[in-house]
Amino acid sequence: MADLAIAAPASNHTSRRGSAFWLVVPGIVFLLAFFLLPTLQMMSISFVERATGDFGVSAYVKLFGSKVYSRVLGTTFMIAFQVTVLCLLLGYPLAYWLSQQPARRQRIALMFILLPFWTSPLVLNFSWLVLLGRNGVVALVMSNLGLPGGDDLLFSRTTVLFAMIHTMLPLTVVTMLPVMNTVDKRLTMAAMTLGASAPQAFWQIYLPLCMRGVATAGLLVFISALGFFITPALVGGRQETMISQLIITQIQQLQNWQLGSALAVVLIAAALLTIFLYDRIFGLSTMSGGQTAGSAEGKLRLFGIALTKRVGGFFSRVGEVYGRTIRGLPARKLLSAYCTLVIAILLFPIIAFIPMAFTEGSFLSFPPKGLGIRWFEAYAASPLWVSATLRSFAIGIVAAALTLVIASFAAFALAKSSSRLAGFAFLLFMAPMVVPPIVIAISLFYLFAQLQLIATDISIVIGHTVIAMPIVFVILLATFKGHDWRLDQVASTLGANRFQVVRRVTLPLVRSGVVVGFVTGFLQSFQELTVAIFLGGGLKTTLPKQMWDDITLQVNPTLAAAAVVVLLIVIIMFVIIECMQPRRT
Amino acid sequence: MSKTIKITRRNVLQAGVAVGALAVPAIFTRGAFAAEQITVSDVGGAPGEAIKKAFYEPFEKETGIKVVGVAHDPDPVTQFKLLVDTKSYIWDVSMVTPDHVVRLTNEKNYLAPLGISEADGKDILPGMLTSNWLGFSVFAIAMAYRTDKFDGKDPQSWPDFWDVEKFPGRRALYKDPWGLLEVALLADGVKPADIYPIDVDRAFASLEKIREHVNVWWTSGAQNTQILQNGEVDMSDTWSARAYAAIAGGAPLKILFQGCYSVDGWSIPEGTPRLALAQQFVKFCMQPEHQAAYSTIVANGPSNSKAFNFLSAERAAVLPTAPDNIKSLFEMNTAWWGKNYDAMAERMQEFLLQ
Repeated sequence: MADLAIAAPASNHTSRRGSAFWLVVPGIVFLLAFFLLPTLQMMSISFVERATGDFGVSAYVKLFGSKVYSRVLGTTFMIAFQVTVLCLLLGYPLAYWLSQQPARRQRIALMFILLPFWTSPLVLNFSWLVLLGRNGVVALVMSNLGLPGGDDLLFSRTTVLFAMIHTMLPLTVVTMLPVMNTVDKRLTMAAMTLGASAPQAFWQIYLPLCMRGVATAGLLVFISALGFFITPALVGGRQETMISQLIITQIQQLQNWQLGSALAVVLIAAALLTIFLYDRIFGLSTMSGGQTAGSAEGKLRLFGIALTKRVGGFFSRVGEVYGRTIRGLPARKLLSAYCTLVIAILLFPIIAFIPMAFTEGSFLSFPPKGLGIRWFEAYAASPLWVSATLRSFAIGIVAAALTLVIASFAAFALAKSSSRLAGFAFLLFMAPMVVPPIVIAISLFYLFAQLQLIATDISIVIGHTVIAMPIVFVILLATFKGHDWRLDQVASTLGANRFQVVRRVTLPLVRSGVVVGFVTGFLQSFQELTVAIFLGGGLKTTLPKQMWDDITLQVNPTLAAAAVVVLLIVIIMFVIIECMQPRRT
Repeated sequence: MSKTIKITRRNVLQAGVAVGALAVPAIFTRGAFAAEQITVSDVGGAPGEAIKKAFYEPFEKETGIKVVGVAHDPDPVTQFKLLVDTKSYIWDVSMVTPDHVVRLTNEKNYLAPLGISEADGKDILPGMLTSNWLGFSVFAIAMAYRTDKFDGKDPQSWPDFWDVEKFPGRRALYKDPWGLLEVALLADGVKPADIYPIDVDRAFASLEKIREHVNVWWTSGAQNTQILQNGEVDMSDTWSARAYAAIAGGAPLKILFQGCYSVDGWSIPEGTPRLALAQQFVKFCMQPEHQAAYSTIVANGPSNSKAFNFLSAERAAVLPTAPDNIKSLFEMNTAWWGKNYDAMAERMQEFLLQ
């Protein structure tokens, strides 16, 4: 996971363009059919008047005219912005610390950080509900320490921000880390040889160099945060309503597809606008790690560079003052302590789930009452849970396989091509990442409803494939770009045919990337909720959907038992990834 | 939606499906269903468990027809309409309230007839059986409070719930206007007989007085049970059986039966290919012994007057239908809600965001 495409070594593409380019076609067809066209169709509904069926913009008039909706828009952007800024501030030192660690320790620490990321926000949020409750363990500790306010931790803006940052911090760190890993450490040394102080070297040399990692992380966090609904729904107060919740209400409760899709359009527009600004300021190609497109050298881009420098200069001055006043404090130890604390907090709700699952009581509580495996028995005996688990496995494997096939064909083709069409294909493959899952889910819901495919496993597989596509594609693209194609050429000069080259040379060399891609696709599907809610139609229940039902309709410790099972599966997947890592020294 | 668009989309889709089919094994195709099986959607949670034991399992034992129970949202109307409109009959029977029935029949009919004759329904209480709906689960929208929090000076009425000075403590209310507006009017001193038609402005004005003092806006019955059980709040409105589930779990709670009552029941989606089986199931649920079994597991009242013969006196006393309980409850006006729910839901959302 550590090496996303951003860290992709410079590609050594030969100019054999187009030779295998047709391999990208299945992926383009798939994404057009199940992503782009359904999304456009769903967006078009917002311009169709409900009553008359004519063209009209009344949904937008209502959206921007009514105080309520503009308020929710404002809240959504505010929360997303705050989460982004805080994630960057909190995640940067962590990523920096990680980049300073030896490779093996870095990977282990990363696994701990990524564990909550793959454990599904559902489990985390539910854990918070128990832990931060009025009579929860945090309140207990706070009252024992004499701190006030412990009994009122839930259902506020702060709780939402905290839980969202908790969910997004791992993404922030893994996005920043590869860039930091590639920064040549000799550069800062050179700066210091030339007379820069340590803070100056850090803020003016190191920080600007890893700025594109920071910016990419900010972009991903902001766009993901825009689409959140589980967290504000479960731990937010009455005013923490975000756009996605409104979309769900409008479509699921009020059957107002016009307004619902207008909200979705706003969400997409916001995401696109963010990307546009990002491209102007930092250059979009930084995301792909590939060739820099010359177009981004506009005024805004220069502004971006200037901004980075200014920020760097400012902090270096702060750093100097700081260094002068509290010199002697062991900064390195402070950083280690901070990072250990952050990792501990990241793991806290997951670890807390384990004892909760072993409770003897009939309600979820922490600390648990008594010890036993009653709820694991209930889990294993319940046909609902067992079938949901099996279905999640099956769907995960099929979706991961499908994603892998499509993505590796495309990545294979694109890694060796630099045509204009390749740029379009790249954007298409990355696009599902910037469209909130809720939009993908309702678009497919609308499409599959017309095809009578709602509540089929195949519909969920397709939805998960769309959602998993960008990250699997990026992993494979990095793999193929890092691959030395001359080895293939050597093999064919030595008489191997095309099939033999792929089987005996290419595949063994890219094996680890393929396995990581598969496991990532599987995990993506295994924890996905939104698509499962809509396309499962309440009948084809995956494990996250069963957990969601359980949280909203059932509330008992079977949920914790199931979460422990999920945790085990995620850990197994991590071990597989770890085993596949090439042993670099 | 013009026809031409549909056709092109289909073409595109076929290409997509062809690609997708490469990786999809045969077990993922539909049609693996046994012939004699129906799917019933219910409200899940404690009532869902009770329905399974009292109706699904005995029905399966008696007829050999397998019943698959699934939980649906507190408001299943959209999903219901969608499955009929798209002819994706994922449910053959669904648990709905009378106002859902109104919303499912006012513009277009989404409900199939139950096919129950008048003679068959003679023991069913008045209003609990129509041509397309059978009520079987009477519940109250009432108040629940923790008995360990008020030093014996317990709240006695909805105006007390609104009185934050005399009765300090953490409060919760349902995050939906359904049943909440009635309660808000009671708190404002409106007599039960004068509640309908609801004076909407007055109800929201009343809610505005308590808004800042509500710590939790709950969204589902199970959450209501949870926050009462673990003491997250001291008082809340509740659907009686949900608070009772917390009492059964050992929480020091009391239900104040003041408010209204309504009924959950079965309806069949129009056009289901398994209509005969679905009708057979609904008819089965009329039987008093099974209704009594249901009311024994979960504290909702039966609709068959003879079911009380199978219930112990202690059990009957905690149900909303017990004379002592129902005397301070009025019947929810389902016609009003069927007509006004959408507008109220929207206004509620605006109210919450202010």
